[in-house]
Amino acid sequence: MHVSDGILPVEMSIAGYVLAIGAAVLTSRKLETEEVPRMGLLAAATFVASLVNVPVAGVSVHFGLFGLVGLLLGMRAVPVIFAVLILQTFLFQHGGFLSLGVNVVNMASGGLVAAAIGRYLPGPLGLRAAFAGFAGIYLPVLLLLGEFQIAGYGRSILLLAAVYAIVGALEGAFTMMIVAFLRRAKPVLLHHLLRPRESAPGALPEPHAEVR
Amino acid sequence: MTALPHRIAGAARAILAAFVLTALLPAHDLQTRVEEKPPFVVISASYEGTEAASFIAVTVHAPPSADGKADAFQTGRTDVEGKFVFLPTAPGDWRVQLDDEMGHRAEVVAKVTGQGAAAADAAPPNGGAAGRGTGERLLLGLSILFGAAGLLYGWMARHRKPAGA
Repeated sequence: MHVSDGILPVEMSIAGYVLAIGAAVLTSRKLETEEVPRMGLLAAATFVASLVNVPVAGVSVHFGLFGLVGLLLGMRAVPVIFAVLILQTFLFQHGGFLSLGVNVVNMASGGLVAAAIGRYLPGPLGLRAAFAGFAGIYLPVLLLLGEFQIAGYGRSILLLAAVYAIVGALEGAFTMMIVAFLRRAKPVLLHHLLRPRESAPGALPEPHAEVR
Repeated sequence: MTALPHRIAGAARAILAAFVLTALLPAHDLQTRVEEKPPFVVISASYEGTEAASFIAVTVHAPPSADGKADAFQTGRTDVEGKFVFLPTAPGDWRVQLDDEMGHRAEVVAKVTGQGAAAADAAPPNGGAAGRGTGERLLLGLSILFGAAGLLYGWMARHRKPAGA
């Protein structure tokens, strides 16, 4: 999913950098001190998750956790994904340096759409989390498909898109499990995602509340 | 605030588990190895040196001519084991591009001597830490992320306006 150098036109790479840096600056404004540790932890989780390779149907794919990052961090997902991709580019050669901006735009878009799904889509939180997890990894693939079409590159990208649908389903299920765990163990992290009915007194008991 | 150490300990355990898992699993950058077996040159392509990059596109460029042109000499695909063999017609720097057509691309320069000692100018495109192991690079990345977050947190906490100010 990380685009190497020499595949996309230079104009697209420059536009990617402009968009990525602009979005990172805009979404980092008014950062609160309390948000920083959470951003650091999720950046580490994304960094690790994207190194886990899953060979599916002869194609090498990997997880991203962009949906989970978007759900928990909202628009702060953009600087987090930017930082993670910089490290992946330089430490693991995942994607090219010139393509870094485009890679950030693709993957941060997944995080932002996941954040919007979590916040605005109707339905129970678990379902929203699953859909956000799926969209978080699959939207970047769709963007990649469009960029490759514009660049006139790639024949196997349709296979990659089909394979990533499986990865998206797995990641959706994983995101739903994480959110269900956090809802039970640390619901304050999901405060911005909970609807009034869901966060009504009694709807979200503290852990072991029934014991007390 | 009392929940913070507990939360950090839980997250640290999860990341440690993921670290162990990741150290066992390969990542997916395209890597190449060049061997000269006169009169042939053998290119081996893999993802992170462990998973063969099978049936990916290969383009071989002959050494540049006097006018600086380096036209495509041969095209083809790797075999099921990620290997590609070509027969160079002259000593020099043969540029080989590999592309899996899914966004992963690598380029290597095979320095053909004709004496079975092809050196590969296979420096990773982004330079840096590619020579280190996966675990070492992962640890380095996590250290940078946690270090940066810690520094930012400390700096922001120090410059935070007091409540009610």
